[in-house]
Amino acid sequence: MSKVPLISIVDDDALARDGISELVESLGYRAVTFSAAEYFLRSDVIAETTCLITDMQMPGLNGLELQEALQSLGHQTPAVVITAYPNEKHRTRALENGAVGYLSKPFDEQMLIECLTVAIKLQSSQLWRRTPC
Amino acid sequence: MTIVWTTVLGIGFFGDPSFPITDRVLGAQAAILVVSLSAYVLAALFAERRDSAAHLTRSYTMLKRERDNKLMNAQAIVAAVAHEVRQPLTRITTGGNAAQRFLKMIPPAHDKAQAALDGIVSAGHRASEVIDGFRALFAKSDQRQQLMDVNEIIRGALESMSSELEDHHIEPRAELMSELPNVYGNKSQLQEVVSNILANAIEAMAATSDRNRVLRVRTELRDRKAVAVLVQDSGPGIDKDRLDGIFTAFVSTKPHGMGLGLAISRMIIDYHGGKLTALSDGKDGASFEFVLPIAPIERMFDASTSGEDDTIR
Repeated sequence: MSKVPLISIVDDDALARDGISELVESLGYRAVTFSAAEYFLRSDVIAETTCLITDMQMPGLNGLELQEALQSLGHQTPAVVITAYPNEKHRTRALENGAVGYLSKPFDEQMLIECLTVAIKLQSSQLWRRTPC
Repeated sequence: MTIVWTTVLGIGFFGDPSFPITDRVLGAQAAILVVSLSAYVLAALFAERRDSAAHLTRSYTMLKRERDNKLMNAQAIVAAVAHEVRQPLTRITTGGNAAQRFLKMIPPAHDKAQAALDGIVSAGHRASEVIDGFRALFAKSDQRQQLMDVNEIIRGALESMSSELEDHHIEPRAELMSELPNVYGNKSQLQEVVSNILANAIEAMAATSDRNRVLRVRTELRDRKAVAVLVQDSGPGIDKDRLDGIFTAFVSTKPHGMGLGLAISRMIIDYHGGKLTALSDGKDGASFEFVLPIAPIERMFDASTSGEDDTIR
């Protein structure tokens, strides 16, 4: 994997989406954004996505449902779930679904950077461990 | 008749064989009547006591519920503020961090840093608008009343939501009546109503994939005394049996909504002497309509004094 990792960002809030995509680009990764889970699922970047950053509360499919939809399609894309309504139940389910992180907005950039590093390692080694960052 | 009364007062009289048999039967009947009547009265008295005891319990439960509701309201308000402020905060922290990195790059990516900084500035403004909006709703201090052009409020709201409309491929169609008379009231509150209703419509359509997404906004003059605003979406609509409840606090049309937007909106429109209603057949979208009285000049003086009584608490 010599290509620059592609990070897909799904968030219905334009402000959060733009901010996260800038941060991802400033880290030297490529970023692509979607305003709804359905748009991401219909896109042609799923297979290429190194890590998915998804918001939890969205109209249509929420972050957990997106994770589950990806799995049912046979994708093992590592995901970071972010939320403005942190909730222990969601956190547990997200991590059980294999999320590399569950962060509440506004999150510490360093946390996201670590999550992305873990996700990229996971993807490149094809070694799927459930060790949240 | 005398026999009846003596029977009532002196029990056993109807057993006296010196009276004719018809009188004795009558006497017995009277006695039975008196006993059953008094039993009835006593029963009624007891029932009333029981009722008042039940009434007390009920009022107590109601008071308790009201107190719990107040707590819930406070929690809900805090949650709503937190949610609304966390989005721009996320924009600010991530954008700030990104800008630092763009500037540290060799060579520095000035354009990207500039874009990130612009984003930070507008996110800061949005956070402040959120606070202003909540203040306008809950603080008594911001009760400034003024003449307003409803069309202008709608244009402003549509413009500030243009990125959301674009994101969800929604086509806005505004038919705003020209030379619409002004209405009189609190501008930030009416802006809140318009953006609540528009946001609701956008969210309703964002969840659909099988139909055209059209947001119709129309203004018109009604009977030359009121301004009507009609917002129509092409979403999945609202079921008839849920339609009545949507203006109640904590009843949401959305899977993750707080259920505060429409309740607050109705409160604001009521306060302005208008009416907010919703219509839907549960299939082809929903329409929300609010009507506001137009502002005759004398109303300016009226509203500034009498309006205080109906202040939203």
